[in-house]
Amino acid sequence: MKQNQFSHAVIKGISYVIPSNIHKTLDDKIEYFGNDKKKLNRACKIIGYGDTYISPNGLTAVDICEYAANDLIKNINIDISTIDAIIFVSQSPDYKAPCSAQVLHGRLGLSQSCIAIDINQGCTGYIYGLHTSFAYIESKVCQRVLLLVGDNASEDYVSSGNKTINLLFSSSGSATLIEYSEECHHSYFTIDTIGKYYDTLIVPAGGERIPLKNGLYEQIIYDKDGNPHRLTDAFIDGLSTFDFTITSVPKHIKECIMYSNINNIDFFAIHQGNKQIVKSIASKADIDIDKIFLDTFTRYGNTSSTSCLSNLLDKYEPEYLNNNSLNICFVSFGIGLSIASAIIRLNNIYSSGIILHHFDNIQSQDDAIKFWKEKIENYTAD
Amino acid sequence: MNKEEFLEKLQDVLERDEEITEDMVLEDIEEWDSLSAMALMAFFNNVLSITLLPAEVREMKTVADILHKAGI
Repeated sequence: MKQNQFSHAVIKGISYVIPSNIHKTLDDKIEYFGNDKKKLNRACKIIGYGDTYISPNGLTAVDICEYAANDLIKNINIDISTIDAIIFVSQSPDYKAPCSAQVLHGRLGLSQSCIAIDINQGCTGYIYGLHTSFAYIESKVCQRVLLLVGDNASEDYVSSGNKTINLLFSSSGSATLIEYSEECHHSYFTIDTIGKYYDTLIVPAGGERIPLKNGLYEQIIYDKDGNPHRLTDAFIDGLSTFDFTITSVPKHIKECIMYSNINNIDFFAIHQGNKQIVKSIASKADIDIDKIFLDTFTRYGNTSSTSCLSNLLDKYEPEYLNNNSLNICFVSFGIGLSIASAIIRLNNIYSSGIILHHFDNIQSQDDAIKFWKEKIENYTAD
Repeated sequence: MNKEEFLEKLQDVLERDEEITEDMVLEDIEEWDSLSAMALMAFFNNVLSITLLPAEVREMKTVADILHKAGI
């Protein structure tokens, strides 16, 4: 268990965007339950299934984060030349290389003296991103960090018809501005890594271990329940993940609170794995029911790396966060396996709330392929 | 919690309309699936404070096995 305290990093504002182009309601999910309304309702009661938002072909987490960043920059009114680090946290980058932070740096027109890095983290991504940003600021490596965190649930992703993933995930992109403050503002981070369970939640193919060749994308493998999988999809060992979560996360939360010595936490912003998981964790960690919010998974699905943030912004109206000072405990857990939490005081921050935005003029994947083909065909070193 | 109360609770946990009895084979219960396994693990952990592992759930064959694990 890694624990760190910071004193001079503060969050100024947060923007959060979910693409509204493809909205799947609960009724759209009935096909996964043999068109049986009773089975659907039962699953809904246990897990909390509801609305999810999928990215159309061509829209990526980078596009969604860019939109969030522009909203944030406009609304907190800062000079972007003073941003000296851009950090992009995601498991759905645009390219294998270069890193997406560099692509976003260019698209946002940031200064040449700005560090740009990607962090490859999933469910705990937002807290990892905050941890790195706060460390940069505390050590005075940077004065102002733009943290972009997002993940993509794309049309390709859901096309296999696998209900273990298709019912759960939504796309999202977020932008958070963190800056140096002369005044003392304490924040407390706790991070656990359990790497021996790396294969519990995994996307097996697409990296160097299993590259995309020999028609791998077209090969469908069926599990014992008849669910189709591709090796390019996320594989989730659901019961083992659930077991890990309800046994390890509540202990982690108690350790994190003890470390901070803060007794008046106003809200626990918890990763929305599913409704049952959130309820179980809160109950085992002895968290008051009025300090959690259980509806976010049903309203927006599991948005992966930003899911604890969607829970916070779903609970509090933008004006409320703007006019109040709150002790928030962020809690996330999942792929890695990894557990992360952070107790942070939010002082009158800007919040966009959850923006449901319809993206237009999306470059299709076919157009992107055409672009690169033409570029390479016209290239000559002479 | 006595046996009757537990079986009634189990019916809620599995979101089942019909009664559950001790001699039932889990495979014959329509609602017995991965969702109910998760709900059962949550129930054991949160309400009974008994750790129930996925491997243990997979080994359970009858309602009596569940009662046994719950110590009832």
